[in-house]
Amino acid sequence: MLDVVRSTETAPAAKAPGARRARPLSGLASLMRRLAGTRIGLVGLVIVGLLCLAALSAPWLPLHDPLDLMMEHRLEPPGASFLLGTDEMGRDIFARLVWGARGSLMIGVLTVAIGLSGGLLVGTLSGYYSGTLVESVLLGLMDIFAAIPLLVWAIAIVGIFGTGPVQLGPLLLPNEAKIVLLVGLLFIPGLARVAHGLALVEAKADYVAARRLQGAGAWSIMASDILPNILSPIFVQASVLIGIGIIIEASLSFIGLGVQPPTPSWGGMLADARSLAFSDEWWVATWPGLAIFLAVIGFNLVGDALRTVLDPRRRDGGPAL
Amino acid sequence: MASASLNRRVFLQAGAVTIGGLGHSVAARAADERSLVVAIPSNPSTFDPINQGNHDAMVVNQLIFENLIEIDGEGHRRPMLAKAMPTISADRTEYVFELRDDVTFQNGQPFSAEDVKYSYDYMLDPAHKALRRSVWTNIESVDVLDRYKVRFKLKTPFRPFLDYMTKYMGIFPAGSREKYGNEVFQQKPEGLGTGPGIFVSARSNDVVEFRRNPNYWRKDSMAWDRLRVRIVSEEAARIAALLSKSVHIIGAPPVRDYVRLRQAKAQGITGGSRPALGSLMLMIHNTRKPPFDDPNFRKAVSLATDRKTIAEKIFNGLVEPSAVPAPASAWWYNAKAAEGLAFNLDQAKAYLAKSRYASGAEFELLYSSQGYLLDVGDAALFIQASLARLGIKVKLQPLETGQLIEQVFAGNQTSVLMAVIGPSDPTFIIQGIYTPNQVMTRSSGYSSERLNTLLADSFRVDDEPSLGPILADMQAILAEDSPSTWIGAIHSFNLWRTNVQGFEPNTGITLRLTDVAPIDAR
Amino acid sequence: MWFAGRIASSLGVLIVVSAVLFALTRLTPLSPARIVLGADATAEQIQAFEHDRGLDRSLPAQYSAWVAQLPRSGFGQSYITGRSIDLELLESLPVTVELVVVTFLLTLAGAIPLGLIAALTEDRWPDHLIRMLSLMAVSVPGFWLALILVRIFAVKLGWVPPIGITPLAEGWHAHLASLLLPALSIALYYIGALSRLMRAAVIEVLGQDYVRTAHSLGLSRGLVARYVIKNALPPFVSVAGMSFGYMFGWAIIIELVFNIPGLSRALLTAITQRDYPMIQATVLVVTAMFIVSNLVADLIQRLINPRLRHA
Repeated sequence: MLDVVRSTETAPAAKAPGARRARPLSGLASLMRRLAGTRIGLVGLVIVGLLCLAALSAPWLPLHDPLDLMMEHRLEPPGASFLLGTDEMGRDIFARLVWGARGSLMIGVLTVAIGLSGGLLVGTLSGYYSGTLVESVLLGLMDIFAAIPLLVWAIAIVGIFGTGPVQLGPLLLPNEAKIVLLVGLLFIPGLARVAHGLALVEAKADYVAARRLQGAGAWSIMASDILPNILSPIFVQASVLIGIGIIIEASLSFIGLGVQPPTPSWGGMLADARSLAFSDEWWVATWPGLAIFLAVIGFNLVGDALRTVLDPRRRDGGPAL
Repeated sequence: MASASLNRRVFLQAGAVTIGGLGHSVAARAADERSLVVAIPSNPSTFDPINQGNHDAMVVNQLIFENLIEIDGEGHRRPMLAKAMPTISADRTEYVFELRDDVTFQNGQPFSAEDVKYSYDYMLDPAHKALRRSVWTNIESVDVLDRYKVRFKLKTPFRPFLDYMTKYMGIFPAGSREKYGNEVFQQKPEGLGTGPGIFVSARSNDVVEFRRNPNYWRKDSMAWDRLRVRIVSEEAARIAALLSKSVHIIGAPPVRDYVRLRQAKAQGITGGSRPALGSLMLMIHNTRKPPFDDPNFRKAVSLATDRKTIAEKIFNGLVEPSAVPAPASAWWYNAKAAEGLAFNLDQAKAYLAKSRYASGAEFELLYSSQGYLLDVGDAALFIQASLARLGIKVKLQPLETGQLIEQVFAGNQTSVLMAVIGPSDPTFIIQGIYTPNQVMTRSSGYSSERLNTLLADSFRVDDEPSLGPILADMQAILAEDSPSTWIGAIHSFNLWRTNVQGFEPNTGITLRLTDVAPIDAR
Repeated sequence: MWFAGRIASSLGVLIVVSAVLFALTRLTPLSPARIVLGADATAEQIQAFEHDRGLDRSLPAQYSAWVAQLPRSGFGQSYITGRSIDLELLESLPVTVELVVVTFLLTLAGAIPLGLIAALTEDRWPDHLIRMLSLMAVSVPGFWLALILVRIFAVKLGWVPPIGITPLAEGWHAHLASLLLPALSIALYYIGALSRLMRAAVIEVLGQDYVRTAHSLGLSRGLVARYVIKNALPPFVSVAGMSFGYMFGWAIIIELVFNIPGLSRALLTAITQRDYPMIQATVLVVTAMFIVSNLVADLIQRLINPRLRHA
């Protein structure tokens, strides 16, 4: 569109502050090496790696069936036959934790994937077309989104539509999909804001002006020049948001609005064991809480390490929830 | 601007409310007062006896509004505002009640036959949209015979009449609706009933406070001076409140905590249970939908259901297993009919083989995701596992209670597992689900001429020798056709602190608190 | 001038958000009529109910009717209890606001000193310890923490009541004690997050040239400290303001564990009862609080940092 021409005029490359070419994200393997080089990064990677491995390989692990009701083994304490004990329906808690990890991690990762795609798209577009209508519309939209307190709206919306599957056009969305969509959408403004700030700087950089002179199109510049250069700081933010996604899912499951039984979920297990938290059967409510804690701390450690490695100058973001 | 100014108003008034509330509590705390605190799960959305639909929340209106007769804790009818049980005409269409002459309403108005007529006439007027009006439409007229004598004329004989009278109604003073307006009945019924509790204050989702009616007509009743009914929807919080002595009695404890704490005398806690006669836990199958359109398949499901394990292992004996729609301990229970449906995997396989779905079937089982008086989620899991052994795949679908009821009443479900609660009347649930034009008819899609005839016959008699055979036949027909898989009757169970006297669980589920007192003055 | 514009845009956002919320509550698959009228309702009764409440009209028509009645009768009446929603909120909102305010104060009291200590001892053991603790704090699910706290301090030790808020009439001490566990359950996350932020902001300011110059010029420690705090505070204030708004979300879950009769019960009960006007009003009030707290944070930020005023 015409805006491209205008924006080159209003933001001449010469005026661009510090036409820095950000360190592009090097290969995943080298990033991992650098992360593992920091102590917290190593711990974080080990936690996240083990959880992901357990979640992915759950069907092939020598576990009890997480749904099997062993009525003769109800509320057995941790021991040789049941590593972490059994719950009030005689189900093996360890197996349920491993299977529950699948839902928690998947929801955490998918929400952030949606937030990332949306945030990067909006941020890059609005940064590239800064000073135009595109920017004001997108930023206005983000302002509206950002005025939504995430948790309350997530509770209210799942509550309004019920926990049953919802028909959306040709798609039948299970509750998990609803949560992923909802939380993912609400993650967009925060990520978009960061992406916008970064893209703004990149869009004014010399190399972008040079690419434009070479005749590169707007989309090509955004996709192959700006986007790779703004990814690192966004990834720092994203890894922290995965932890928050996991906590939101657990909270919703805890109040009965998340993953629906019998599918095991950490929040749901905690909800089932609520009253046991005050009894002698301490283990039932302890393990799922610890699992959530461990997963979230894992992603936070990775986030901290990513920050140290990729973007040491950036300050900690505050709470996003 | 509108919402901004509104917010400001909200804030300003908020201060006023808090301070007002404080003054009240201070006044409430007189010395030596016996203050009882109980916790129930459901928030009473109304105090109006003609609109209360929640058996748990019913405790608040039953303390204020009373009836001519009541059901005692053990399930027996006994006179309340009436002097004695009514005299019933030979054709069973006229009920004459002699009323007590020593009763006054909390507002000082003396109680008489006019009030009874007024209350029923008000409730029966379709314009007033009473929740349970349909239960009462068999009343032709209510006539005042003299100051303390009232006659109910029925259109046709209707045996459950007296049972419904104990639950879905309450007597209020003549002229009170016009004088006070419905809002007062709904929200702050100060002085409107004859009961032992005078409404003091209520905070939605928090607490309802009563003080003792000093002029209560039952002079022998010695109990609390002040009662706080706390609404604690969270089951773990109810347990924590009981453990930490914040409340004396809790309703609907989680089964496992009930089992653990019912004899925890060392912790100062005790518990008890009683069969709730009008209740039933069952799977209502939709007989018009595959695979439940085949009676052999329905029988197979019923035979594959291990009620004993469900009752003993999951509900720890708080569900009384029964394969027919009657509690096993009830005098009208048809043991022979039940025997034919008892857990038997071989027979289940045989019936399945005879059915159109011999090669396997799949169906969706709905249940409520929220435990209201009893959580059926665990039982649903167990049923899923049991039927898997027959090659029947069950897809569990927990639904929020509102959605669940919507689906079931519309007959959209294939099968639903639920606990149904009604008055302690042996035909209430059978009529509601398996006979035409009733609220839940569509959920079963079942009809049987023989059953309809037997039901009508049952309305004409009210003594065990005549009623027994009719009820037994009804169970036999239902067992043969198996439109539902009956699991059992549920118990009403509570936990309470040992320093409470006069409390016992109620067969009608709703807490009975009239004669309950904390022993230690708090 | 700036402030007027900021208020106007906040109001605009609130209006848009309220419309979205309104639309969402009307798009649900289930009619509230069935829940309100219950088992015995006929199709005609349901139709009449929907007609009476305008539920059969078009969405824009319903929304404009709702907006039009706001100034006159507030949020109107609950479908279920028939009670005025304003009164209902009047009962529950102050409870939640008090909880959030106590949580917020607890957060500030924890986060600011911890952040300062960590920054001043950068890369020495107090810093490491505080960073580790704050990392743990932001990773604990609040409702699990609440269960643990209740187990220890209410059920086992009996120091505080496990449920509800003790009324002020029973003394300040008892009242605050009953607020402590729920407030702590929410605050821990924010203490962790905000102390990290405070630490980073202070370290950043300490590293700036003018501070180093001031040090080398031998300016008094007090003066330098004032510089540092004045410049580290603005980013902290803005995030703290946002946190205040976010705390309402956590309060919904924590109030449930402690059975506190605040907005949580109002909202969750309204959800199970499909009480649309109530859900809408509750969520709108929380959203408005969120927007207002952000606005106030912006204002404070401008007041303490004159440079921003001309930006």
